[in-house]
Amino acid sequence: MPESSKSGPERQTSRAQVSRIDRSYFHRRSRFQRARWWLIFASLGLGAAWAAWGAFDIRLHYSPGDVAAVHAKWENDCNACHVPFAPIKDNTWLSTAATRQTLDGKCEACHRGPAHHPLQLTAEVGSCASCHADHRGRGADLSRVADQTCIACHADIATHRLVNATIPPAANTTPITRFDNEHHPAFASLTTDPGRLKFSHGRHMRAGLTFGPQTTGTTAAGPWTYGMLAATDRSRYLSPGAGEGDLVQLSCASCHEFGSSLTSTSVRTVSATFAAAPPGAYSLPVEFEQHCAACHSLPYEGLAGPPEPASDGVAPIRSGRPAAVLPHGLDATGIARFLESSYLQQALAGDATLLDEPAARRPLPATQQGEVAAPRVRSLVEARVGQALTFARGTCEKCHQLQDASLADTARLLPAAAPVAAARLPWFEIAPSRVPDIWLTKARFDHGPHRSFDCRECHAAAYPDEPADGEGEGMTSAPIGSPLDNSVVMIAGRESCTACHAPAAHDPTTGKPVGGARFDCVECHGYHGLGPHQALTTASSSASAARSLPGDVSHGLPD
Amino acid sequence: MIIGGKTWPKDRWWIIAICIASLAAAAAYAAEWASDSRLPGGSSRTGLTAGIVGGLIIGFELLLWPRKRVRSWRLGSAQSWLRAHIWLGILAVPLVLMHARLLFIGGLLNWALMTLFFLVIASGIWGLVLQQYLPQAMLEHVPAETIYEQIGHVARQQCRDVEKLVDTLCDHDPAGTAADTASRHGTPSDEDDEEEHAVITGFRSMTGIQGKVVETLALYAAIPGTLPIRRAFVAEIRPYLLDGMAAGTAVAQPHAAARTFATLRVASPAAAADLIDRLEQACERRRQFDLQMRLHHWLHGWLLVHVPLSVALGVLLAIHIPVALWYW
Repeated sequence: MPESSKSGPERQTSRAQVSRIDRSYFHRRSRFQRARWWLIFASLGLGAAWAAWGAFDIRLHYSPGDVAAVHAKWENDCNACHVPFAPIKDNTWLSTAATRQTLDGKCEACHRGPAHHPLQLTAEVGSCASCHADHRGRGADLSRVADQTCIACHADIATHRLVNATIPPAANTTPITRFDNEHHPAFASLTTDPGRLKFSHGRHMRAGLTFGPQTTGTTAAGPWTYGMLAATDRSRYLSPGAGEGDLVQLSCASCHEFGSSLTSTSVRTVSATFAAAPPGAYSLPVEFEQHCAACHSLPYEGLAGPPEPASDGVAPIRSGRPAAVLPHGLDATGIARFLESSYLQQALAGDATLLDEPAARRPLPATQQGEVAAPRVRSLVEARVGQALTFARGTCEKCHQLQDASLADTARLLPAAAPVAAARLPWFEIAPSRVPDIWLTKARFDHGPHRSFDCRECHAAAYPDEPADGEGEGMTSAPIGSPLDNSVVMIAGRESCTACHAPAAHDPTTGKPVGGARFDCVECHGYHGLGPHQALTTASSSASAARSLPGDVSHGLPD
Repeated sequence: MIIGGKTWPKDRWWIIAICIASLAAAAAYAAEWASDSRLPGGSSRTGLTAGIVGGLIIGFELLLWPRKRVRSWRLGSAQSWLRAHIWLGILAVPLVLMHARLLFIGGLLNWALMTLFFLVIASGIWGLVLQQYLPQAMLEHVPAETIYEQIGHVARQQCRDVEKLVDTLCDHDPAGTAADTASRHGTPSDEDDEEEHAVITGFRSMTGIQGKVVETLALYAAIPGTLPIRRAFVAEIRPYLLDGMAAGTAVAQPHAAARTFATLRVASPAAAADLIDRLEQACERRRQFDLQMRLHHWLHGWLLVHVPLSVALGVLLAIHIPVALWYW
């Protein structure tokens, strides 16, 4: 070390004087170096402290985000969903069938998650967490998956499904890449009306419920007024401010009610999808007793008043008060037993001596009740039943499609005396109306959020004065205002939806904002459990279809 | 390390390589993004690959520190290591971004990692930028540059040199104290009085080459009328030469120093002009030392951020890897 750096008086040699540099400087750390080391040690200490802190609060440090509210119970239990060293998503290098099975099994312990489609390619179906990613916050909707998960296959569905000989290669291969008028097909389930109820929305929505002159009068041929309704029904249909002499004016809500109060009949007939839908999502099924019976009685005998002329080509449905009416909803056997019991009751009530007629020579067991009736009673009842059937047929076929039927003797209350006699009776079967409780069979719809719209905006064809502009898929097949318009699908189609369910923009002509409502796939569609494929089940259902009435094909799900 | 110039051919290949690697990684990431509809995260194929490569790069970056501790090992030149350190560090940015789902991440550890990573990168880039300009500025403005750690030593040496001149050539101050003539650092200048020469540090510039030289001056008798020089030396010049800006004397500022020495020239005999010039040159060199210290602090101060944060990043990365693989 040079002398110059030492303290204390000493003599500087010439060598020390020319020694300009302290040659040992690099043995000592500068301020910078010392500060750097201190900071490095501090960093190591902080890192160790962090690790210790993290061990006490794993969720805060290592969870990438809160789990969804539905999984909040397991927020601090990673093992509830995870398996150590097994990737929960299958878009990684290290995913295997075994890890996926294990992890999906944890999800399926609580969630059923049925398969999407019979023709899906299993290799293309992701693990549960691949689509339903969690750790996106409490408010995340795990079922709202990204469009791409659907488009990945549906953009070219022909190459993303199993090859099946029963399905033509070119069938249902419309590419779907987003919801708009260009990239999404028209709603297939709105193409035709599968219902077989003869009905005229046009007539029922007109004042007085007639296409004829709408002048009130007292004649039976005139339009309906509130005064013609029974008192119990009148209050239900009476418009605010209207009187008994005013024409009856129905509205949509007169028949299409929203709520959760399914009748006992409807509960048995609605689809599982309808039953599972939130209250008010779909219109409740129209019930005869509740929505039709006020005007439509079901007579099977002559009426008290004069008949109504057929002014609009439709057979009259009203001509005074019927003397006797059929209950609604009976099948052929039910009609037979109802008529036979009614006339038998009339016969016995009118001639009490019939009760004393001798029994048959060989009494049969009690179930063969017909054997106890005398032959003349049988012929009388059969004659009346035959007349009633003829009359009732006319009543029923005003609204329903009918088909001749034959009844076995065992089905009747009074078995025919001879086969020939039984064959003469004009039994008929009423075809099911097949009015769908849900029209958009492949999508969800909820009337609730749309209740602020006028019904006319989506169901314009149901209004008699509305011009048919072909807006909906099924709106161009029949002229509006025709006597029967039941073949017209009165639900607006895709274009009506895309007016709102589209990206927010401004109308180029009016400048008003349009769109903005959600338009992603899961807004309307579900994924899991779409049910059997129509084409695949054709063969198995052909036998049962053959047993059905002509045209009695279920409202099959389009592909 | 200076980018460009003579090293441009090597840097060019690095730049091309990291551009290609970054574009390839981005293309793969975008493709997976398009097919998966969601931003690929750290566990996705491209995300995991980017994370592994990024982690290896960070590990390599951290090796630069031990590499400097074992300079004697034949592990490639320091320049090559530094060049790889710089360019691979830049390549790590897009890779880490892709691994981190373009920063759409959660978890305190992940955010701490990302914060540290970008602080390290930012401090490194800041240091790299400074190194492009400050060495040249030091070369231009600090011709008397010396080893940073030796500035105090050299300053004291220079102070001793000129103090010897002042003690020999200037009148003694009758009102002065012993401290006015004795070296504050214990250098026994009185004992050197009997010597007839002095060795001092000079500065020469010749044909574009400039640097310090050691000069030997013959010492003669004191110059009458130089008491103001001695007093100025004791009051202002010596404290400045020893402590620099911290002394707070007027000669620390160039303009004030010029006025001080101009006054001394007027008040002193012509024979003392050379002494005054040498005092002024000593003050100028001290100013250069001060400037060198400031430049040195800028040039190396970023390392106080870069290195400790890099170590912290390495620690958190060592926590992140096993935790991420445990539940992913």
